[in-house]
Amino acid sequence: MEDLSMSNNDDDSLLAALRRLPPVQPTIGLRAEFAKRARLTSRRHVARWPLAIAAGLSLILGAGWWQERTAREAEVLALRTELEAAILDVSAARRLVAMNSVTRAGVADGAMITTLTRLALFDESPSVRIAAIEAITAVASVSELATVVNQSLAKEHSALVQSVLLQATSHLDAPERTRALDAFLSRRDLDPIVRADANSQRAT
Amino acid sequence: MPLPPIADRTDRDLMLAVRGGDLAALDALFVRHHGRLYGFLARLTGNRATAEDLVQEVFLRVLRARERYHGDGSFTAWLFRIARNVAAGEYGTRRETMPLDDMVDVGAAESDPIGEMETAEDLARLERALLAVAPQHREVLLLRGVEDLSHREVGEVLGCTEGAARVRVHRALNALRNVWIDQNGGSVHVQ
Repeated sequence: MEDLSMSNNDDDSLLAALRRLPPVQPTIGLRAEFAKRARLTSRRHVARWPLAIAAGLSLILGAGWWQERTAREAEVLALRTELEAAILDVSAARRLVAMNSVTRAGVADGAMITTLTRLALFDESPSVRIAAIEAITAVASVSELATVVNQSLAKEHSALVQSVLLQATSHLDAPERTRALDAFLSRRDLDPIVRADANSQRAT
Repeated sequence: MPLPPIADRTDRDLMLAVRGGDLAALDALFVRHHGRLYGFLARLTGNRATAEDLVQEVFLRVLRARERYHGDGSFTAWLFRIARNVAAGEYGTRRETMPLDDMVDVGAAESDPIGEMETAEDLARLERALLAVAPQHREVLLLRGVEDLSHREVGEVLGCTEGAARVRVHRALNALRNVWIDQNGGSVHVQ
C-alpha cells in the first residue's frame, strides 16, 4: 500500500498509481466517423471571451478594494498561524499544504518570509523546499528572493529543486541573475540536464 | 523493394507517407493512436462526447499540417502537442463537462470487479482527484502519468526544456496530492 499523501520524496509512487487507471475507450463508430470528417474541410470557428466580461469584473473588484484590504489582513494572520503550526509538524504533507496556501493567497508578512526562507534552505524534504521557493517567489520582494536563490543555489543538491531555483532566477534583475547563474555554473556536481538549462538561461 | 505491410511500419514512416498523400497511412495512424488520444482528451476535458470530436479534429490537423512534419523528434509527442492545442481551443469555446461521477464510473467499470473492489474504489477516487486539479496540471499528469511519456517528450508537448518539464510534473503531482488530501483526508492509500 502506498501512502499518497505522504510520498513527498517519491513522486514515482503517485505516477505509478496514475498508470494503473483503466483505459477510457471511445465508441466503435469513431473511426468511420473520422473517415467522413476527413473529407470535410470546414474549420471550427473559435469564439473568444468577450472583453466586456473582463472589464466588468475589474470594475466590481475595484469597487470593493477597501473591504478586500481588511479581509487581506485577516487572511495574512490566518496564514501566518497556519505556517507557524506547520513548520513544527513532522508531516511534510502538512508543511506543503501550509506553503501552498501562502502561494495561492499571494500575501505574506516579514515573519512569514523568514519562515519560508528557513524552509527553502533547510527543510529535509525537497518537495517542501520547492514549495517554499515557489511561495517566496509569489510573495517576497525581489531582493528577498535573490537572497534565497543565491544561498540555495550554492548548496542545493536536488536536481529538481535546482531546476525550480533556475526558474526563480527569471524574477531577478539582470545583473543579479547573471551573478547567480555564474556562481551556480561554477559548481562541478550539477546534473547534466540542469547544467544545460542553466547554460541556456545564461545565454539569454 | 516493396514497402512492408502498414501494420509493420513505424509512425514516422506512416507520417512521411501521409505527407506524400497516402490516406491509408493516416487511417493506420488513427487506428494505432486514437484510443490513447481519446483517453487523454476525455480525461483532460472531462467530457467523452467532446473527446470524440477532438480526436477527429486532431487527426484532421495532422492531415493539414503534414507538410510541417519532418520526422525529427517523437511522433507521439508531436501528436499530443496537436491534441493539447486542439483541447486548448476547445476550452475557450465549450466548458460544460460530464459530471465527475459519470467519468469516474466509466473508468472504474472497465477494471476487473472481481476481487479488486478496493483497488477499483481507490482508482475511482484517484480519477476523481485528477478531474478536480486545474487543467494545466491535469494535462501534465495525463502525459507523464497516464500516458507514460518521458520528461523529454512531455517537454516537447509543452514546448519547454526537459528540466522545466520535470519541474512541471512535480508541481502537478503536488497539486494532485493537495486535492487528494482535500477530498480524502491525509492518510488515504491507493493499493
